[in-house]
Amino acid sequence: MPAGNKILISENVLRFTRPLTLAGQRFSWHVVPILAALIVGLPLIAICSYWLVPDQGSWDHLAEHVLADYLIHSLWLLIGVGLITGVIGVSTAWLVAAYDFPCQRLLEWALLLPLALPTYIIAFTYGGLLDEMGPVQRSTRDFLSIPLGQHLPFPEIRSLPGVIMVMSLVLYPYVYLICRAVIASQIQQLTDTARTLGLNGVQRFFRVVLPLVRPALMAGIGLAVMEALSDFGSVSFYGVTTFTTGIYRTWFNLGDLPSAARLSSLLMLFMLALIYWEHHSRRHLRLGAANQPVGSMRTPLKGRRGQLAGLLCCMPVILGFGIPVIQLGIWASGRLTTLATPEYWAMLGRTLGLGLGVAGLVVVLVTLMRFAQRLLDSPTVAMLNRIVGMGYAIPGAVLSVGILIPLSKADLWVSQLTQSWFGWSAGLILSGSLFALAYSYTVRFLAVGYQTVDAAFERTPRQLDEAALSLGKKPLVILGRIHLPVIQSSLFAAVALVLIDILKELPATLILRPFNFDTLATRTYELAIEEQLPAASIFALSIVAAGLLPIYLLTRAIRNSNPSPDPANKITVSPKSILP
Amino acid sequence: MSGIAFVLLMTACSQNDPATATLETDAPASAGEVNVYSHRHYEADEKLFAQFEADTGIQVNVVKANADQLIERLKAEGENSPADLLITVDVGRLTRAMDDGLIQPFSSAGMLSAIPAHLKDPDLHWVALTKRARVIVYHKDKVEDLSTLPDYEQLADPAYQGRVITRSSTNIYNQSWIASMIAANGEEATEVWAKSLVGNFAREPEGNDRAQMRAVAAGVADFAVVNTYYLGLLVNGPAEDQQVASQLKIHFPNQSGRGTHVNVSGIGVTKSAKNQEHAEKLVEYLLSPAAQKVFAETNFEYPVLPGVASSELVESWGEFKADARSLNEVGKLGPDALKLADRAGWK
Repeated sequence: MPAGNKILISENVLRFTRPLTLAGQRFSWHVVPILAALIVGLPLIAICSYWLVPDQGSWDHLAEHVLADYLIHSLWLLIGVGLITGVIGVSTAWLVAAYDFPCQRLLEWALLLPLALPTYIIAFTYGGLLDEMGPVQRSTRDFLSIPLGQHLPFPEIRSLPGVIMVMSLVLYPYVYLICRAVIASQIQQLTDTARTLGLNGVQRFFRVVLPLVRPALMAGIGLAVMEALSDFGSVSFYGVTTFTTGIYRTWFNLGDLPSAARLSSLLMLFMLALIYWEHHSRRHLRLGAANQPVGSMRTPLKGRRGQLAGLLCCMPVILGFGIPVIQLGIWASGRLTTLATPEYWAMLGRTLGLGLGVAGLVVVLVTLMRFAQRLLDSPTVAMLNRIVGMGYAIPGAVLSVGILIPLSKADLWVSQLTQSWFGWSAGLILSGSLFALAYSYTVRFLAVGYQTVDAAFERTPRQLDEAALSLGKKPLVILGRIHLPVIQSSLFAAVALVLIDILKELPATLILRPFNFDTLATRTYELAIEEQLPAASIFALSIVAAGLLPIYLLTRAIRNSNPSPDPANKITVSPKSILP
Repeated sequence: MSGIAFVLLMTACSQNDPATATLETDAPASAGEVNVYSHRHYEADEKLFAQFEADTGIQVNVVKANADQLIERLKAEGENSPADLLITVDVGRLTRAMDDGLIQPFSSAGMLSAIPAHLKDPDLHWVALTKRARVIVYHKDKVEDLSTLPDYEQLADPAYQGRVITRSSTNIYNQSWIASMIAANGEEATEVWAKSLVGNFAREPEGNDRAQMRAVAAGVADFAVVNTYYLGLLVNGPAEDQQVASQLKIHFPNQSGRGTHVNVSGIGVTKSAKNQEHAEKLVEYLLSPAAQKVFAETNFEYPVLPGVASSELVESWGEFKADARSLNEVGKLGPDALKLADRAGWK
């Protein structure tokens, strides 16, 4: 791969040019990564500082009686979701990227659809669908004429296996996306190797594809599992005790914030291990040059085999998107009047407005961060930027504590200041306003935006910067005139991706939102937890619908950003970019 | 394209501005506002707040969340907290807020004089808005001899092996219920009881009270421990819920002893209240006969104001003897109850 050499060369050139061009700049670009690291680091420090607070007596109790349960259930969740998302993700990616079969073009993006469903929505939908009074069991009763009082031996959906299943159905796209991009970008090499070795389809998969995508697979699984471990809505809905429910229980029910913070930091350790795993896997990720012009390398699958491939790829879409959306639609059909209320539209406007606003800010920040890294080219900056990625690993509830504590302190300080200056108290200008919510979204989803923009920057040749720098152009001019035009579709994708995540975010929104500020997610949860599923469905569907738009944009961005003759290779948004 | 994103961003920000502006002010009393942190999430409350706004012109701003989270928020916000009132759905959270110094006594005993003594804090930190009884519902075809219907204690007997369900002990209703058991029988006996009860569960705790009743109707278990008003909501719900309700009967346990465990949903003025006068006006309104009637009729809770009738449906369940133990005492045992549940393996 020439990429390594290129970086080596560029480093030498930069080493040579930097003193000439960056000296005398009044604005130090170091500020940007330091600022970003502080933004993410502050809540982390606030959480970890609770190890210094003496135990209120609950920690020993927790360690003795429940910690093992939390650990075991979280581990099962990790293994279960990891395995299932891995199998679904890599197999669909392989089929879609390497073969032509009926509906292949459609499935290529349809396989992303489950991404629009937050885990808690699919959980309550399947819960309502499959529980003892749900339509499935009721029609089974009707069919077999079993009266209502008699127990029907149906597997319990609200259980650990149940939660693993439903979560995997919406988390596999993480694996799919990243694997598909790798396979698609190296399809030529794959096909050649397989041809040379004379392998058939199945052998090809196990002997060529799997070793090749293994890093991608591991990275994708790492992400899916991180998402699963930070979920609160589904596990609480299904009555499964994990670290997140334990944190809630300890913080809120026992009123023991220090122990909850300790549990949180343990969960964070888990997450750090996963980040390391994911990062380590990615180091081995080899992406071919994305813009390498290749003709269609996909093998056509005809007849039965083609139908089978189509069917296999349909399954995750049907289970992870079709069925839940249809069920939500049935529930919602009786509630369409909700759509006519001004409250609904106000809520929709608020949710989207806040989401877009924060997503925009996040993307501006990550663009500056990534540009600073390129400009400064120092390992310290790279490391600071990596800290930012950790925000994604902080579960929403934990993050809320981490944010509320420092912000309240800051508010107190500001109020004292304004009181002494103007005799007027500023109140909770930070912790009681949308600022707190926007802050939590920023910390949580900075990583999502960063990865997208990072990948775009990696694709822009460094020679462009070097040339501009040597011509004496100012960094901001380089950013505005060279980078932004080149990476604008990725920026757009980044906004869209951050927006989906914000729309879906639940726990932090529940805790940090200001007065009279319901979002679609909080409304859905409130109604669902009260088991008012039909009433919740219209809000849930709105989240899904809103989440579809970003997926559509994402698909378009992927397709349009590279004018290659073959759609399979039109990927300039590298797998890494889609994912945190 | 980035231009579009920028425009969107700008409009998003300008949309947010008015919201932020109204949210962060600690409005002077003259602006006519009262800020409520509420754990109650019922239609009845929305109706009542709207009526109060219409009657007085005082705007009611609400943050609805779990009371525990609201308490943590109150703690973090300190004297800057915009909240004037805290509403919880159980007594445990009220006593905790009281112990943490987050709520202050009402300014006059007079406004609460009509409320029975056991439904308010002796020092007037909080007052109950409604009562809810934690009862046993059973499947109408599964119990032959009605004279043998169990008390809470008996649910742990071997005869009930695999026949009982209830929700998670994380839930505050169960926590207060366990706390009331500790108050009545002592911690040791209650732990033994809880362990046997968990052994009798027909399945791991999951879902809310409504889900427990659906499960009993479907034959998963014969008995469930639930709050009364959930049954009221089922009876008045869609056809499917009514079908569930038609399978169930209600039983008030411990009638020959201390009485059925009753919890309250209650309210207190926060220590940081900036609109104390409006806040107390709202409390007075919520305790008025008209408002109490709405709680009773819309949410099927028991009113706390003597003389206000329960809804017809609730009346039809009959009179019962309620556990008269001090709610403050039950509330303070909440954390012990939770730890006991952990030890007993009650999820």
